[in-house]
Amino acid sequence: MKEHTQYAESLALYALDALDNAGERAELETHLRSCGECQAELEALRGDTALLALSAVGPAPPARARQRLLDAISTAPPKPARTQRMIVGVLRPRWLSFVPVAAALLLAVFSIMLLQRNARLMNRLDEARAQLQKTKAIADLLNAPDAHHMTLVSMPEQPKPPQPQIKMIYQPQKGGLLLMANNMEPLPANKVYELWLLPANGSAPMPAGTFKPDTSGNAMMNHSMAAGMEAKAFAVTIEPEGGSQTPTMPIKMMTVG
Amino acid sequence: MRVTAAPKNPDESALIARIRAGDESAMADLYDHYSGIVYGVALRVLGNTTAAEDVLQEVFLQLWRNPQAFDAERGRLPAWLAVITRNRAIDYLRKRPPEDDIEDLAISTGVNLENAAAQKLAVDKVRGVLAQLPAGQRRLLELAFFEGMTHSEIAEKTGAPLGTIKTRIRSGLLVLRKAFA
Repeated sequence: MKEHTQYAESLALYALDALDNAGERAELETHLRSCGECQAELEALRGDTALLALSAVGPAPPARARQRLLDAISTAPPKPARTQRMIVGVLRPRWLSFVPVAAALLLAVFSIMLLQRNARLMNRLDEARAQLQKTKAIADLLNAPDAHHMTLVSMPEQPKPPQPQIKMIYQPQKGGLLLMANNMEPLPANKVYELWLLPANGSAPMPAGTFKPDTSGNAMMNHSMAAGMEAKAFAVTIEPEGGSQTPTMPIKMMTVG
Repeated sequence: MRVTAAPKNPDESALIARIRAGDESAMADLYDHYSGIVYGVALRVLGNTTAAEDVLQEVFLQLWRNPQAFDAERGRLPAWLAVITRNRAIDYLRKRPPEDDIEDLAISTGVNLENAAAQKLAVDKVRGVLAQLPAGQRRLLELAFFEGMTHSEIAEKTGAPLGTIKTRIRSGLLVLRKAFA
């Protein structure tokens, strides 16, 4: 309760968007994410500011404002269902009205093209952002001072050259995991390799992602574990497509050293 | 301490449902119910009838385009409109670019504003409560809400210590809440 009291006064300023001390604001926002009581109080304080707003009620808007709004609504960007209705409507014009109709149609087609182009550009932007994030996550993992670098080799009963090999990096604190596999044996269509984290505390193996080698036997996997999971070792088994929750014996590969 | 939302006004939910279904006449009803609140707040912040009318248009149009932004379970429509209008008007005042979408802002309040008579009662009551507050405290609330000043801007303008401003703004808001509890 002491904590809530500490935040109570800042919350009022926050509700008014007036809390301009960045540190105080960040601390409060962190607290709000985990405190239902303060979140509810923030909503109530916003309600209180709405009461304050009522003191300004009195002057009526000019009469034209209502019609202006209704006009704007009827020409507001139509929803997809209405676009269809509009196009169907112009498919049966009288010939005299052809020119304006053609212009409208061209305009509609042009607008749709612009919209599509815009959507494509937005998609590309999203893809580029996602790629950048992925690359950054990998770079962070590669450069993390506390990341463990490991090599997994084939178990001795499989002396087939060239030897399958997995190199992987795991950062327990953040749960980041990057795996690069070479010379892996090919798998049947409905099977995948699954990586297992064997927890340091001796509890059951945890799924750590699945991967499937390409025709040259190479694979790469970027996976996220729950943060803070210390590993004793990693192992690889063959599992049905989609992966399993418990490993199917035998273990095909395991960390060495 | 917590103020829960008053029982939901069924007309309000029906109005929002009609807007979500693209019913233009629902916007006319919404305007008739609440344009006084929206315009009054916008005019008080901006002090200019043309700018206030622009903000009024913007708020209603954005609700029309994105009626999902208002969650009927979480706050009552007029209170939500009042706060959204204030935020938009402050953006306008500070020449911040308008946002594309209206924000999803959770509000809870006990005040009943569902019809003209209830609105008038509430407005009179708020004015009465504010008139009872010390002038200095009322000024702090107005600087923060209607002029959009931040904590340190208010301190600079009034010369009052930051801690005092914080305490007085909160207690002023709580006095208002208590009047409607």
